Amino acid sequence: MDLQTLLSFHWDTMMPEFIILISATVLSLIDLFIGRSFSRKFFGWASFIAVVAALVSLISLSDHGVTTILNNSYVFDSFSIVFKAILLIGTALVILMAISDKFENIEEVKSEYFYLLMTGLLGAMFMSSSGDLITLFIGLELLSISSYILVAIRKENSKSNEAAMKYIINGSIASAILLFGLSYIYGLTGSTDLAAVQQIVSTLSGTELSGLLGLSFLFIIVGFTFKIAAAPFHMWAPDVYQGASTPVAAFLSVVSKSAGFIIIIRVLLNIYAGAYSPDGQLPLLINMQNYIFTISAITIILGNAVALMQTNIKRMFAYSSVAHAGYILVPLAAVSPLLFENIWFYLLAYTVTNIGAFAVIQYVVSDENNENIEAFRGLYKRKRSMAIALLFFLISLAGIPGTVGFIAKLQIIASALANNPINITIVVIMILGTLVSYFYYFRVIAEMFFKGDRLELQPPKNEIPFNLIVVIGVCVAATIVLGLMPNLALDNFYKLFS
Amino acid sequence: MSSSGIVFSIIAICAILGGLMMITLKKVMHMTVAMILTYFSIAALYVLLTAEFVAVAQVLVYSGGITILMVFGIMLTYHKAENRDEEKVSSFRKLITFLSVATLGIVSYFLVAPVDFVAEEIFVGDHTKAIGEILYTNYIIPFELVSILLLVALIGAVLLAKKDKEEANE
Amino acid sequence: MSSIPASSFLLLAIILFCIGLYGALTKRNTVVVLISIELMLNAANINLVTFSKYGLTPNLTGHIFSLFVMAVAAAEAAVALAILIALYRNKPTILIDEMDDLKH
Repeated sequence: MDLQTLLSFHWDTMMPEFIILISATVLSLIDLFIGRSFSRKFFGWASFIAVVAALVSLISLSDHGVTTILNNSYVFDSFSIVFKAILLIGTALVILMAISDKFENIEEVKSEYFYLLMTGLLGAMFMSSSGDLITLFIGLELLSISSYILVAIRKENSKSNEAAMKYIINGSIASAILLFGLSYIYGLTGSTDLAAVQQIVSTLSGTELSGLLGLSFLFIIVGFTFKIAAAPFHMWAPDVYQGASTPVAAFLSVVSKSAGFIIIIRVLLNIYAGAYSPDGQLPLLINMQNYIFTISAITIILGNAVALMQTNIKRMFAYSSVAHAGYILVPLAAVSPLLFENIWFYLLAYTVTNIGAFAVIQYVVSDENNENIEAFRGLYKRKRSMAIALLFFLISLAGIPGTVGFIAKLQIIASALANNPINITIVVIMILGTLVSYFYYFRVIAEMFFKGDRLELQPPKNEIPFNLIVVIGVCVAATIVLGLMPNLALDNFYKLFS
Repeated sequence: MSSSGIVFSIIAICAILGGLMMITLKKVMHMTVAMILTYFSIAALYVLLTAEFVAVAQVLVYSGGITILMVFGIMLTYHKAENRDEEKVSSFRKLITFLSVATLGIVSYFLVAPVDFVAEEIFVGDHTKAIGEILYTNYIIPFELVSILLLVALIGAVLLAKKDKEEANE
Repeated sequence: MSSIPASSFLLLAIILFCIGLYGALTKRNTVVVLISIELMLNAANINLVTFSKYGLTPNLTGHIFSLFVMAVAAAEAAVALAILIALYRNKPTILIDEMDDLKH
């Protein structure tokens, strides 16, 4: 391959990635060369602008058409555009949150914070637009290693160290298992290009080798359930969320989880949907559906049940995010035809509401120096705007009509039932899980609105920082507007996929 | 058994022996050194599979880099009582883990056994050059991504392991 | 050299993978757990290199993949040890079951 061929590819479709990459590199160089006494306050805003610029360039590329570079190692299609948009929106909001992060009155703003968030985002973006196992794996590891460092970045805090240690050990075991599964895929097909893999896999039906394909499926699904924090590999999530600073916890629960679902859709649908089971009848994915079904059910039940018992707000949100991973697995378990749409919209809804909730948590926790639910006592009387914003986020997470969370859940349930009435079991589990989740979400609401004596309550010590006002404002607006008019987002989605 | 079969058996036994020693030895430093045996056996296996470049990389990265890194890790966190891996994990848990891992292994073996692909000479000539050519054309994107990953790991390792200036001055 | 069946290489990889997995799940010392994880990655590498010689369409992609895995393994080990050192500075223990500051 000569330079001519190399340059003939549409490298311009990689513009969003280039923007992120260049700004992360430039920021790290600036960090290296300016003196220690220099304020690094502008890093946050600079990286925010970079992520927004990447989002703008992604939108401007949206009518570019499908492009592949170098045997599918980079694929630019509608799937990657819509999911990258979620990743970029999520990271932009997280970066805004991180600008004013304080814990126990120590300024947590570290310059490394911002470019590590951006490299993590870069890994996630490559995961969402790659059709090659090697690039997928490297993207996943780039995201994971950036997240390990982000969790450990409060290095004077022994809780944070401990969380990071647990995270990296569990994460490395999961990626080793995943890699073992991927090596069988390569072995059975002789290729790492997903398109080629798909073709060869469909010819394996009926041979003895399809058993090995099933084994690789199990290894791979273990690796992925870890990434999205689904049961039984969710145990790291509460510890890590508690030990990490709040913006990092938000990053893990939103961006990292979305990236996990993106890679699941890419790999499972590309490889196993075309593979047929040993008896040569049904696609392997349909056969293996029971596993995903079980994982999804256990995740919903466990996540919601354990969340009930938590007193630490971040641990409670960790278990709630485990439960949400279970809900998002339902379309996969039901193999509904509207799978992309359902998962995408749910992730979008989850991104705006969860980041908003974490922004409020960040403010309250750093103001009170207390991570327990009691920190929210009487918030309505102390800081009315915050209490009302959190109310919207919580009822959206709980899935009450009028919010975006309701629409997202409704879509999943409706399309699962429309596809096949057998799915009623998983739908019932999902609805029961949602009902259980009301208890712990409403516990926070009750704490905010009905508890706390007016005389005992202290007014908040700090004003709400400007950046948090922006984050919360955007998230509240999105929660309500998308809840009333979901077509604003869905129309754009359909336009890309038509 | 052919001569290559004998060579393979010796290598395989060495590799498994190293792994078992790693599991059963008491001192962490000995465990680390036992792994070198496994790493070298795997490198020999790669030579047997005509993957010379990967074999050399294996020796450099694992026997050289990662083992030294682990030894440094042990020394920097040296604690007399703890650098022995004592029997505090309950034997019941060990048994359960052993049984489940063994089951996984046996099931995997039966699924792998039907693989009867025939070896082919994949490339006649200079492997290293061919690998380089593929790496810098078809796989240039993951290659560049790995460079970012290594940079991130470098920055992260320095950031986490260094003492802060104020602390160091105290 | 073709007299060795592919499945013997794959069996060796499975054995090493299982030893690594067992070590990673039962050992208390963090460094030993990290070494066990390296062993699991090595087992995956054996698979990759084997399949690039034995396979439907043998090719060099397996070699490339295993080189990438090595780079990733080294990066992961470096970050893990850095975290271990930061942890040890605050609380002098490297035993996993004594890391219990976080509520369960």
